[in-house]
Amino acid sequence: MIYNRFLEESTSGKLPIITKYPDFVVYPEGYTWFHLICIYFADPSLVVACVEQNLLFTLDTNNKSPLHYLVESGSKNPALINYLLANFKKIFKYPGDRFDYLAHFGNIFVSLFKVGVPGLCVFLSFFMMKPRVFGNEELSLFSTVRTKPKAITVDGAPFLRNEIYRRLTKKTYGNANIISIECPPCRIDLYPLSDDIEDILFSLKRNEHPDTLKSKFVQGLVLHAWNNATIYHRINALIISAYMVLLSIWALEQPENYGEARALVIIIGIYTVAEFVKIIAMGFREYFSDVWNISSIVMALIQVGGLAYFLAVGKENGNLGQTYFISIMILFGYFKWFAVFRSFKATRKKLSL
Amino acid sequence: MQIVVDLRGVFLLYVLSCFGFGLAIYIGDPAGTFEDGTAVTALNWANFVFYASLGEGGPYDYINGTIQTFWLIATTILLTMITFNMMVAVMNDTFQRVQENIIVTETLEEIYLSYEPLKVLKFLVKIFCPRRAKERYFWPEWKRKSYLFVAEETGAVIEEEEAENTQQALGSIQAIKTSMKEYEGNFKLTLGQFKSYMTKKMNEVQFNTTGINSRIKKYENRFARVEKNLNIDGEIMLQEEEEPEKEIPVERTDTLSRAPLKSYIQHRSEEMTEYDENRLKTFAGEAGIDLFAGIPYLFSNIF
Repeated sequence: MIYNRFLEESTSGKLPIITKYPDFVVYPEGYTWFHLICIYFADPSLVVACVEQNLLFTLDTNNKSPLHYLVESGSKNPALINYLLANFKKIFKYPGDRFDYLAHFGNIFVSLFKVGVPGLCVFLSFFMMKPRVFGNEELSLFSTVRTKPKAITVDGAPFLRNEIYRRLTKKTYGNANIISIECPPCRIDLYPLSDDIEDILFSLKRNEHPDTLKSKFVQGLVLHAWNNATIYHRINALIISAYMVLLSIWALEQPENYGEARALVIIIGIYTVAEFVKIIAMGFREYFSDVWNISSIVMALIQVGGLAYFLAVGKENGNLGQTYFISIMILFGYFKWFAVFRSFKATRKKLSL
Repeated sequence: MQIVVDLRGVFLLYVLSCFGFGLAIYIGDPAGTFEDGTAVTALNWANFVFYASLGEGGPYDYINGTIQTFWLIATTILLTMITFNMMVAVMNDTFQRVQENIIVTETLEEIYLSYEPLKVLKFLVKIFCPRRAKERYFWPEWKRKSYLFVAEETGAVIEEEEAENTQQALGSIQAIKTSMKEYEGNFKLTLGQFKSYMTKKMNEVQFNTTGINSRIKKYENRFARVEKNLNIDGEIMLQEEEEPEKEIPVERTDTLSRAPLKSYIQHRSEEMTEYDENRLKTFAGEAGIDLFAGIPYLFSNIF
């Protein structure tokens, strides 16, 4: 009867019902008022009332919280999602194991990043916790430990804390006096080329909230992604360095025939193809969101344009044009070379200017 | 790239100023010529102004008349002194702003750098290894998803190193600002502590004063009562003298509370017999009282 009355009442009429029966639960679904409001109404005043009156924010029989339903309804209510996330400290009063409870948020974890609301940082502050220790399982860990003092590792199962301590101590020659180990309580697809990682990184690129970027989870995830991207950038740095060296040699001693300039032509070809592959893979908008890529594409276009120019006017008539082309290529080549140094931690800070 | 974005306004101002002043100087003498007789155009003057702003003396040879001199001086002041310093100030401001948010800037940079290989490699895998790319989607969740563990050293040595690195990264001006903020915070903290300490002390003093006042009032009443008894009936007092400890309470630890007894003894000692005197001395000795110490206090309070 209360349930039916609640559904029929107007917004102002629902508030007294919530206040009078705060612990109401619908069986067998296990819905609380919070669930019902988020599923059927999603009215800001009702959600605020639920938070203010400390109504139960629990999981229903489908292991879904009210936040699940709000997120699953799409990003129609970013303000409400933001409100819930920002007040997560207030509503998160689960009496049981927090690890178990938060593990259920793994289903909507990526979606929360996609919504990209500022309240996410509050939610993420709960999302790094001490990992659970299980029995006497022997696990192979530290397959991807690269850096010191922060170490990132990925594993499909929980692990022994003693194991991680022993290994980290070994890595740091016994200086690891105090080690804090934290992990998010839910599993994520952490394969470097996975959709989850792509979606999260894409959302973070557009995120303008510094607190979210500073959160421990984001820092750890970005470090993990960066560890996997380092090889790509090293190869890229090698190609652009070889390109610049060969271009400089060519500019100093003009080759007379194709044989002398073969190495340069090959490297120019690789570079140009690589840049066009990047454009196709990322799309124009994403490609040019990194301003340093403007210099890359200008170089590639000049190379193509230069080739077309020489084909059109012939080598004998194209000396003046050749000089201009080379000078512009060297200028943008140096810009691109600067950008390469972003892949080194020491120079990244300076180049972020 | 932040620096380019921030400086675009200053660059625009600089270019416009060069052209503007060039035109202004040209209008001062439109018929001016070079040494070889060719006419000096407005664009030539804009070029001269650019050199003048860098400290070159090129245009001085062709200056003709007061107006042109005035414009050249104005150029020197506005472009060389103001615009260039403004440019330096903007650059400094950008640097500080970036350094203040270094964690955010660095994280964003890493995100950009990680996103590019992800997209490119994914594209290449999709083209060259389509089966592998598809296979992964059919993996069970336990195989596909995993936990991310972040193990971090948080020793004192590491913290010191980090603090030092941060100090270097922040630069001198920022370091001064940071230390000033720290000092300000410390000063406020100390001030707050001192304030609370003083308030506490003041409360204690106030409490003690209240206690003393109440005690004084209490003993004033007691003196008045004793005095009254002494004046009205001496005989009753003599009879009561046999049990002095019952009538007047003795507090051994407080000199103030001993005073009435002393005063009483002093008054009574004028008419004392030898027996009484010995008895009182014995009592006073037991109570730890100097018989004559209370006399000044008695007179100061009663008269």
